[in-house]
Amino acid sequence: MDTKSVIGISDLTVVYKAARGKSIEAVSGLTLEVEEGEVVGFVGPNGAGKTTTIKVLMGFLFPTKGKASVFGLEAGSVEARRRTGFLPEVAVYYPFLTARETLASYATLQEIPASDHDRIVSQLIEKVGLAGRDREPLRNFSKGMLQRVGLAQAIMGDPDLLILDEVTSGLDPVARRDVREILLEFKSRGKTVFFSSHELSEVTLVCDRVILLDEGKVLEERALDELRKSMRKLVTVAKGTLPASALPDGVTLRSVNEPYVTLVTNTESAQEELRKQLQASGLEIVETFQDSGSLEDYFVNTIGHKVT
Amino acid sequence: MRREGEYSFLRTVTSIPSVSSFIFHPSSFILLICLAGLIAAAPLAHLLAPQLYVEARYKPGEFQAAKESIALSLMGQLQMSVGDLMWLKTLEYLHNGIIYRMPSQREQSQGLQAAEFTGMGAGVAHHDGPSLVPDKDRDWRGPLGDVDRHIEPWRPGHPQHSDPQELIPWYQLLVKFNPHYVQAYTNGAFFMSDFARQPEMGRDFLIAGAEKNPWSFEIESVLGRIYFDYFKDYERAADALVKATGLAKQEKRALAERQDKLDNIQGQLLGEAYLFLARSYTGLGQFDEALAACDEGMEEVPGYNLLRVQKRIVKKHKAGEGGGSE
Amino acid sequence: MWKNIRKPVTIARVTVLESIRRKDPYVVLILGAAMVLGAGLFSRFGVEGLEKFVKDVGFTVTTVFSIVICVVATARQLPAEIQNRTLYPSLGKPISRTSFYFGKYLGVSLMSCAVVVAFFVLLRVLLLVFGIPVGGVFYQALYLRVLSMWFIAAGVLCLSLFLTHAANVTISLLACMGMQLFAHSILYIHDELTGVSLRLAEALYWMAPHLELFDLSKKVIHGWPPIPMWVLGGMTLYGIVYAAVFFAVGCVRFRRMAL
Repeated sequence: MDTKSVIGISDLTVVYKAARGKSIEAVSGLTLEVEEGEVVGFVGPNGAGKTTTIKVLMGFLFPTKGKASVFGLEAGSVEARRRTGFLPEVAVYYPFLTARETLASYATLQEIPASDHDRIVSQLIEKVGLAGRDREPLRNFSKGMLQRVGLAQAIMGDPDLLILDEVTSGLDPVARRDVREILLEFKSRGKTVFFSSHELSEVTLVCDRVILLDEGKVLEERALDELRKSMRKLVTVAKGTLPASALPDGVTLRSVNEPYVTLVTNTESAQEELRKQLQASGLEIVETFQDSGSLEDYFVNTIGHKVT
Repeated sequence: MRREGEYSFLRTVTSIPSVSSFIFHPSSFILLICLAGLIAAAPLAHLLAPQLYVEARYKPGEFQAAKESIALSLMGQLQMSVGDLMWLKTLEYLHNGIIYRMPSQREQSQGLQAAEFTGMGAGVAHHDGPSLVPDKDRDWRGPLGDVDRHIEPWRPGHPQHSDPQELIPWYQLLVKFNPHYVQAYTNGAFFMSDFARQPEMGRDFLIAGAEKNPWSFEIESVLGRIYFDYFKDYERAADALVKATGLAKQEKRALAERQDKLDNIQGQLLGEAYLFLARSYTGLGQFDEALAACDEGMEEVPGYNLLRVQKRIVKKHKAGEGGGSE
Repeated sequence: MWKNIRKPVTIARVTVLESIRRKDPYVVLILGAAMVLGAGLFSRFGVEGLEKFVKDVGFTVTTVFSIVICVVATARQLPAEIQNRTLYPSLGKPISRTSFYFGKYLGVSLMSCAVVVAFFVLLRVLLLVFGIPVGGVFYQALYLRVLSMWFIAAGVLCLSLFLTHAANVTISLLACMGMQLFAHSILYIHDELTGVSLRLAEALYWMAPHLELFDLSKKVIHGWPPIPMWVLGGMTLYGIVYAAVFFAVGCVRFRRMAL
């Protein structure tokens, strides 16, 4: 494991004990690293093991096997958490406290000097868009508003690492944009962000790298640029009747709308080869263009079932 | 400007919970249920009192039927349990908080017996054994025992009694839960009359008790004594004491059928009933009736020697024809 | 040192604030005040100068209600935090589980002590109004009752990590209310036992947490003089040791729990 990694997970296995002596392997032999300054998206279907992995990093769960470290320190240690901001999956806070009181108490736990509490809490309230609602009890807050409180407490104290579980859950599009801006701002200052999300569009807008998890194992781990390239499709629309012979390798029939056929390839060379074959078969090339592709389609194809 | 719903310090500490949040709060829910149960227990006991009526002359079959009724059993047991707990409370009050117990079998075999205390008249007799918290030389608990002897009321030696006036509320409460707790009536009336100096209260207490327990000779006996001692109403005293002796004879017969007899305290009370009946008749100048009461008493309660003394006194009065005053 | 204590104090403050705003102590205080004031209606018994009865009712209400509020509030703390997941943002901060556990313990203990003090103040006022004197033993009783709250809170908090909420409340209330009955029962039957039964009874007696030794109410009710200071010191030590044991067991369990 690289000691300069902010997050280092090596062969992590987490087994839950279920009823009647059964056990569930939530995470199985997981290995990943997150370097300093990276923004890494952690995606996968429900039950993939994302939250379990995050809980291990925060020290809420203990590895059955393997190791996890944060800033080179044991995952979940007080020192590691001192430099980490964490947003849990479900935003629940003390219902009878106000947002201001909640953030003030977290400020104490974050070891922020008492003299700075007011200023920092006011700044955070402004930043997450809760101005004017900060003195109401949290039990009056909607899910989205609670999520904002959660984000405020996570970024409190300007941590070096943000670990966010379903950060945009419950947020309206405007709030999501605000969150995105906060994350990009963190990124621009060289901070590290490790977040899980179901919102694939958010992942593509913010991340440097995407890790795809399923059934406790890493399926894919790619830089976003590389991912976009592999998602890109070259589309050829031809007029005529396709010959009965099989399509060449690397060519997929997308649709047939008489008299037009739409074919898809991944590379330019394959597209050029296809063009020649179609012309040799007497079809007319009507149009060729690039389709950047859908991340959802990509993941669905990779995982083999729907990502919700 | 504070918006609706915002907290302030003052509002936090001075706001009263709403009625629904009060009632359905877990703590208050538990306590309210217990309170409701306690409050309901007394009138419930009253309502069921006719069904729970137990007479000394109940036939075995009738006892069995009552025992087999679950509702009556439970209600009866609750009544008796609450009553017994309150009775123990009165003994605790009497002994300044010190709890006494009956001697164990081992102690009895070593010669330690419970002291029978009859100092305040048979109507308030009770037994005092050793204290529940043992003396240091008999305590196996070491330092915990030393601490216990300071935390719990305890003193070595014989029991000492406190002002019995303090027991009165407990007797009044006890009979609300269990109207058939005869000794509560007799003790309570005595303390009301003697220590609280309110014989009217004691008399009324016993009259109420007699209504609930018309078979009880003990209540009539103490009532007669109160008429005699505090009201100097020898006629009413005689009426009550005649009733007492009549009921006692019925009770003796019923007990005899079950191969049982009156206990020591009941025997003591019966003896007192005859004694004060004789004294009442003497006070009324009815010496023949007084002598007949003494004779009957000596037959019914052979061990009660004061009746012999009283008989001599009556004879002297009769001989001197000294008039009605006792 | 203040830096180390600041975090548990913050957790304690949040615990107390939540409890106050949830109206936990209010409902009990209002009910208790109603019952204690009801005891002041002793004149309907028709006898003047009754002191013991008023003190008895007052102390019974104080003891029962303060134990109920302590047990119910404490038993809810950690299970509610885990179930509602309010635990995660707190433990996501640089605070150890031990500090968090201590903060919770501190919070419920302080709140329970405040309820006890409020009841005693109410009782004292009532006794003053009725002209019933109390000696120094009254304040000793207050001290021991406050001490018992720390003891009970430690035990209930520890049990909350092993039992369900309902089981914890039931067992804790039974233990608190029934400890005197248990202790007296052992005294009653001790003489009749022999051999293994005797050893077992004695062992049970020694191991049981003797909450009845924190109840000085009978001495106050019956007008006994104050107890020696060494007894108070001994009970303080006893309470500290037992509370420490419960705290340690609970803390170890909490540190090893998967959340």
